Amino acid sequence: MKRISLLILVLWLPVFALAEDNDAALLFQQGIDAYNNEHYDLAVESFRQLPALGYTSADLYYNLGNAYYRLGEPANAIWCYEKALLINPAHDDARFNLEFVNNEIFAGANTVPPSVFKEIRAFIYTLMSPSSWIVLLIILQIILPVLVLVFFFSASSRKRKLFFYLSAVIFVFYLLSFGVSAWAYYSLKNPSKAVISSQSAPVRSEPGNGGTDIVVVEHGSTVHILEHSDEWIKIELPDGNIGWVLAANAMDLSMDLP
Amino acid sequence: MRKTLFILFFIGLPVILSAQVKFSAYSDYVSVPAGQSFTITYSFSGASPETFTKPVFNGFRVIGQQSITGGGGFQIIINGQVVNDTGGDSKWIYTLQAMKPGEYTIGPAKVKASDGQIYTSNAVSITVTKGGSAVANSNSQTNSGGNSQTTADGDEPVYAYMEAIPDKKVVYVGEPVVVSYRIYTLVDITQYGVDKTESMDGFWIEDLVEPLSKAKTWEETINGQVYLVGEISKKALFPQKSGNLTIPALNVEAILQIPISNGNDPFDFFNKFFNDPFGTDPFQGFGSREEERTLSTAPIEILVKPLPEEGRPESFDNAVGDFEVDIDLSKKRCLTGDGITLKITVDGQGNLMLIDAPDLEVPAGIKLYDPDITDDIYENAYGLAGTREFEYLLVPEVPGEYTLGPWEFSWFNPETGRYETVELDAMELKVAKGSGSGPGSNVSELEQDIRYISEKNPRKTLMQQFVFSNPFWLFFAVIWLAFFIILYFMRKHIKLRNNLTEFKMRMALRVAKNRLKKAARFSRDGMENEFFQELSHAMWLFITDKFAVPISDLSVHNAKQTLISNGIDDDLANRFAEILQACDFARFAPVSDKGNMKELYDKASKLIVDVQTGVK
Repeated sequence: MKRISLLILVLWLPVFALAEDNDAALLFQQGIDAYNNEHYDLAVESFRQLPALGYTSADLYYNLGNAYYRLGEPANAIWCYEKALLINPAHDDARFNLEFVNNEIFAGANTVPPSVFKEIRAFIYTLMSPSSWIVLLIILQIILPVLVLVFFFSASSRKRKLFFYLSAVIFVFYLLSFGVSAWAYYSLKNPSKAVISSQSAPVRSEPGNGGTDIVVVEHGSTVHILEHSDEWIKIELPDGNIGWVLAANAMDLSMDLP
Repeated sequence: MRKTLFILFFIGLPVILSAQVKFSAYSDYVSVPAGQSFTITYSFSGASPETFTKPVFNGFRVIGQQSITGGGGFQIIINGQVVNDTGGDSKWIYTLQAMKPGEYTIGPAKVKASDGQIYTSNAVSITVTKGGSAVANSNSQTNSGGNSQTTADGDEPVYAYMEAIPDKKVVYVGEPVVVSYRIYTLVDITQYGVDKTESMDGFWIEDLVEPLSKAKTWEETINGQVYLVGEISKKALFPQKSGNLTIPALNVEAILQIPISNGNDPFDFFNKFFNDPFGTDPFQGFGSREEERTLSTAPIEILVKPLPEEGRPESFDNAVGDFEVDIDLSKKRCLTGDGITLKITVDGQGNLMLIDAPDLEVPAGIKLYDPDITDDIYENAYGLAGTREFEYLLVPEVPGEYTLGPWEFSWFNPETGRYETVELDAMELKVAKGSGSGPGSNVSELEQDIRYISEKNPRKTLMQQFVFSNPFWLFFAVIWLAFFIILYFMRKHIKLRNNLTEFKMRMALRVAKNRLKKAARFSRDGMENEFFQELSHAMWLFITDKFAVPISDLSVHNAKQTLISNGIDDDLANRFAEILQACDFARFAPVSDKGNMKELYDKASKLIVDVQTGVK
């Protein structure tokens, strides 16, 4: 086992080396100072430089979202909060502020109630940050084979029983943390959400000039992307409507900045 | 002349038929001062008229009009009275009021006669002077039919007219102008009705006299004539904006009882006799005719001054007048969730209807609802007076001691031209925690805002970069590989304790019990040989399964040793060996002993239970 942990350490070394970046820390601090002095435009400017340096943490997007909100740009703020939650679904502050801003612009708007399955999924996601799930996965990855081996080698039936059940439970958690990590990884790489950036974008029944306008989607609405074509995206609105909008009218969450 | 005429009889007088058509216009004055009224008479004779087109009276206001259409020189007696002989003339008489000084020409009127011809009258010139007295028309025509005006001024008096009298002409915004609409009349008015209500832009209007109530009346002497004055409407107008505002004219349709003046009518004697035999009028309409006239007031210009900016208190909110303000809190102590009322009463004279609820600031932790407004407002001579009550509902949500107020209420007093402010005293309110269903939480939602930014230094999302990366898969692969390598090399060791062993161990007791039951059945049926065989078998299987001892390694002789080496204590091992030996012995001995069978069975059962509970 010693050899394995050593191996992990060696694999991690270059990553640790990258983590120290004084420029980034400085920029971040500048952003916070500007925010505290109510120079929200400066704060936005500082925070916006960080993703290019490889800093794409939930906290960063959360701060950027706050600065946008203070600047009176709720659509950008919503995008940032959504991005923060995409990176870390368990970011409570981002969730709170997202709901707050949404409430402020769309008070009383119709939304489709989430299914039970989605609620359970959301509950599991919001338990821990994806980073914590990954750490858990790595720990369980080490523990599980050990427990199984102990089970195989134990002589007395009581011991065998104990380790059998223990292994089974750990295996369930192992699968769970693997699943959550995989889903978080997948959704981060393939975000299916977008925030409407134009003041009011018509939603059409077909891409292109054919078809008719179904509804008008408001500035700052979060929509699900179902399909991409060249200039148009097929979206599902919060109220369940499905249609096409110009891609230029929506800010895809896969981008680094709104 | 709309009234139906009852022609009772005709007196055959010589009929003078004039073949010549005559259509003329004349006024009773050639020059009048502005504001004075005069009449223009259009007289048409010689044919019977069908339609009359009046000229445009530019610069004049029509305050009365009448028409007399005659018919062929008959004398007509109506209701027993001789009506003046019109001599075949038709007349249209307009009473005009001069508005502005200047020279005016009143254009000709047109008549279409029954023969289809159109006749045009002459135009009339009139001079309106600024002041002075009127100059009568010297050649004021006397009618050929003898219907000439012979009154002192040579004119029919102004029987009725209307005036709108404002109490002031210069006011502040919000200060009421009380306008009294009065009808001045010399004759009886049987009926009147307001033509239409003009829209009064810029005013908030309150009727001070109920529309259906009887008009207040009194007498006034004007120009030597005693007029009966009826106040038909009184309105308080609250100007809502500054500047020159116009109160539009009011038109009233009235039916007048005009006495018939016959001048030098030959029947005047009879007329007078019938008309006023005893100084009273025995019949209505006797000696008079009903006539409908439109009475109008002149528009009134009101100068509305804006409220001064200087010295305007912050709490000023539209109140103009003279007020007293009172404040009252329903309770001094209460529980959270209770409702408390806060009453602000504004009492006085002024634009009470237009006073907005004062904006009250209450301490955080108390919820303030919009006030209910109750009015008790009546009209008096100066406009509106009374009280307006603002009743606020307060719901304390957090326990504590609060100070409500002090608040201010201010208004503009137009009398003094200054703002006045009254301070409403601060009030103490003690709130204890309530147990009720009210919002009794200690934390009440005040102003909501987003949460503060995160000041944690940004980290690169290391874990998320690591997951499913190549090093990650390598790490997984290494661990699982190591796991399987260990399993492979240790497989022999593991095989000894494979799953089958485990299963057999757990099943040993059940199998043994089943066999013992079978043995018991043999014993009941008296099959001794089978009984001992089954019992021996059960014991053997139990040992081999339970302790994973290969059956080939066992014999009656080494059973004891095997058991001891597997951790069973000596006593149990001995008993086991005994039972096995006894079974073997009984199977091969011909002796039948039922008691022995029972004893042996009990021993075996007990032993199995003991082994099961004793095994560690």
